[in-house]
Amino acid sequence: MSSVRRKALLKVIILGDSGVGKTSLMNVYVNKKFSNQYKATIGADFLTKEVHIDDRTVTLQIWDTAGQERFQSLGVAFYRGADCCVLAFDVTNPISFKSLDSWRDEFLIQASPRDPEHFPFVLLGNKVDLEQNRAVSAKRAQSWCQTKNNIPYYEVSAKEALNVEAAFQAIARDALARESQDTSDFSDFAPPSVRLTSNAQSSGSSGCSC
Amino acid sequence: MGLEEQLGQPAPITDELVDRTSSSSTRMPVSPNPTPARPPLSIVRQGSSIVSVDRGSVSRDYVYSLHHNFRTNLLYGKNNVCVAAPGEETPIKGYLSLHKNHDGEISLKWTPNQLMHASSQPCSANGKDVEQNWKQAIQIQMQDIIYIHLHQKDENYPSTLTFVNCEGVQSAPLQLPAGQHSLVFLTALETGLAPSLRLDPPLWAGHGKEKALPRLRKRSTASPSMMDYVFRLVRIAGNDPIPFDDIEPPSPPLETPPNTANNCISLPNSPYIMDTNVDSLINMQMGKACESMRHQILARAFYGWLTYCRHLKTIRKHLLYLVETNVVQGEEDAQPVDEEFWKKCRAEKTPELEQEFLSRVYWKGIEGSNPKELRRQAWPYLIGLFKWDENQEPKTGEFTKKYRYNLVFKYIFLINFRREVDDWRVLEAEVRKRDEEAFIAARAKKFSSPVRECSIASDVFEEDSRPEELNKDEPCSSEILLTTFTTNLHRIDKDVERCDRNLFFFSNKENLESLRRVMITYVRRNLDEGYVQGMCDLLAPLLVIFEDGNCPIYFVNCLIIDNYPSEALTIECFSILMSRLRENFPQRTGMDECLSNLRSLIQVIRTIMLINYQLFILQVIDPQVFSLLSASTDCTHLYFSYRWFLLDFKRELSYDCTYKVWETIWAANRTFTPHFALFFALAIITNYRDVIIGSQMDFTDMIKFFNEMAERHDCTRLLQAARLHIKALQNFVQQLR
Repeated sequence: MSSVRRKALLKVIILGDSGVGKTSLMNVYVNKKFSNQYKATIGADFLTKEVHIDDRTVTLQIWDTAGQERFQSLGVAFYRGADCCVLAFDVTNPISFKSLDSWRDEFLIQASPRDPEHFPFVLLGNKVDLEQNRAVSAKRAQSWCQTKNNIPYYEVSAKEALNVEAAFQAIARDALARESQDTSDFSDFAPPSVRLTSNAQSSGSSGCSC
Repeated sequence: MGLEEQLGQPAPITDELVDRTSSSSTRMPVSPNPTPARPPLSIVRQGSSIVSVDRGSVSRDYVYSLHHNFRTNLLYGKNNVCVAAPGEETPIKGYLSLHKNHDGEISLKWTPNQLMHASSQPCSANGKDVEQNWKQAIQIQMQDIIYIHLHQKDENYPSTLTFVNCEGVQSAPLQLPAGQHSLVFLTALETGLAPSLRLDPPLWAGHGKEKALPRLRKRSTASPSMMDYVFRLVRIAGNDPIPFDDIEPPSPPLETPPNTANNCISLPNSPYIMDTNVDSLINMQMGKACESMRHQILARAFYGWLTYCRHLKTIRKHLLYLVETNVVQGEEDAQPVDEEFWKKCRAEKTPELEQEFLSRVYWKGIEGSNPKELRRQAWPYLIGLFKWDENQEPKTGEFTKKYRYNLVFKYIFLINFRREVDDWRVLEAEVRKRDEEAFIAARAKKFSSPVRECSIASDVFEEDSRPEELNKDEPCSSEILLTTFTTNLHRIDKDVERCDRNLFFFSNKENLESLRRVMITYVRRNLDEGYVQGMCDLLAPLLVIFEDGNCPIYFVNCLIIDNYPSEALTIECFSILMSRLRENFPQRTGMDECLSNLRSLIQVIRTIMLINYQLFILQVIDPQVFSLLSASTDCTHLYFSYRWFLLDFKRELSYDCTYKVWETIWAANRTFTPHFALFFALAIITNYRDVIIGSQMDFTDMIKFFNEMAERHDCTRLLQAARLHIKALQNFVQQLR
């Protein structure tokens, strides 16, 4: 039965300031390895990974783009057709947190999804292994998420592979839920959307001690 | 089982079908050649001895082939059709059948009843009888037939059919029993002949669907009681009805009435007598074919011309100015720049040597026993930092006026570099101080933050207020400068940290610090431009090349022992490099021009290459690749090449290859074209043409493919291809002018 279903390709875009760890997060999730020798991303690249959500197998296509805002003009080519947008910041870098608004707005402008209000975003606060250097508290991040229609928030560490798997699993779910709603594109999906409530997710997984 | 297999091995299938359709209870032995596709019988006439077949199973198989099977459709079948055999008084009865095979060929077969029986009752007939029967059997290919004669008194009498082939040979008359059998036969034949042949005159489809024989005109000679028809088999070309003479349904009545007796050959009815009609038919068909060919040739020529014109337009509009057409010697026989040649260049410094130097670099690059040292010396001249007749490293004791000037010049730009570094060190210290304060403030807030749910927004971005407070006291430019510098410094620090750390050179912290120093100095100089990601990538190879192995003598004289001299040289070369590449960076127009030019090049490379085919191996970008790469009107589909143009392929190639490609770009810049990078990009695409087409790559596939190919390209081969592309365009442009 499941083999008859169309194989879904879910396009996920990771955005955030330069140096917050977008490439690392993507590589840790897909290739299970961390390297501190990644170069600054120029242009764009992507990795794909098959994930199992309930009884479904979907392919995540995770896009990694340049972090400097000057390269945002390229975005329109890469953001097209995204199913989920992952915003990332560095918990030790408050500026990267402040840029989130502009990244989110820029994405909505350039990707112009059909229903911007309910387009799935996920927020990742990276580098929580550097707790001694933390400058953005989990609470502050969660507060921001609440102002943006309850975006799910995950505190992660690419270096220690902390929470990364769980976060991307949730990202896949969110993207899939959106796909399932999109009956015009995927009419043969076993539907009734498992639209997870963002609140439940964020409270469950962002167990930050501070 | 696939269709091809079925066609390839027809025997078992045929057997199956034969078994299924056979009413006989006797199981057929499988013969190696069960159904001869074309039995060796064309028109078997009495007295002829064409028959030369193995009688046994073949006769049975022949009979079975009369059945409807997957090879041939049975159009018509009638038993007890009589044929007068020579020397026999009573006509022999047999089975008349009409078959159409899958090639559309129609054959008429008449098989004596005895042969039919013999096949089902193998033992009942002896060999001689069978042979006799075989001789009597008739098979006619309708393609060979030109006329069909039909004689019938009326429906109460038997009718007679005679077939005349193109050689004028007439078949034995077939006598059908009384009734409308001949009409049914002709109807089946007419249907089967379509679409390539038709009966002339056609059968008359007057009332409903029932076909009827054409009405006869008034006859003059034949007996009034006899109805005689002559049908001609006419080939149909296309779907056009053929205006063939007058449509005169009945031919003139036959001179020779049919005879069941021995009158098989009837010369007066030979079609050669009426060859004028046949000739005109052939002429007309030939004329039509020629006309059609003429149309096709014209259409192709026109479209070819149209494409060519479009390409010319593209070339005129976009590509004409990409290359210079001045011919530079060298090419294949050029030698790379080596130590000996370089020594000569520096000793003589003639403009001719400069041209040869550029030519050598363009065609063969810089090699020698220590290419790094050679590059360190030659690059500043190649990139245009030093004039050709300037001395970078004069011999000791050569204290000419010029040398003094050069020394001062270099000294100045070294002094400048030191001054600049000292200048931004102050700013850097201020930034560090503020960063620390900000961090402490953030930590303090984090630990002491009271629960204030009511003012989320202000809580989230509380820090925003701080710079504004400062601005109140000092709204001057120095604060703006500091803010801008801070932003850039943070960016540089992040990128320097991760610049080619896998390279041994940058595993050394001192070299990394060197990179950072040059980068910050450059950005401090061009603060409006600021740091843009990618700059570190462009700077790094230069720094590696200019790394000071042994400090030049004039710097030793000045008692400079730190790394600054090489950094001073690096920043000057980097500035020159950036003055060109800056245009390709975001928010400028260079990248769009690159992509658009690349698009045009891909479009016309075929035309260019075709015109230069006598010179080069035909390396053609097919329309396939073009359509793949030019699907949309904007150039976003070419974004896989974005990084190529931004960094002059630095990320695509290893360091050694980067040196080679860069120096070729610089040499080309001063000789053939300032757009060598464009042709190198084209070379990459043409090089992987087969992979691109074979995998039917789309936008994302191309990005993935080229990202994965990074640092794995064969740069020598690509350089060669790029130079060929340039030469092709040069020749083409020359022809245009």
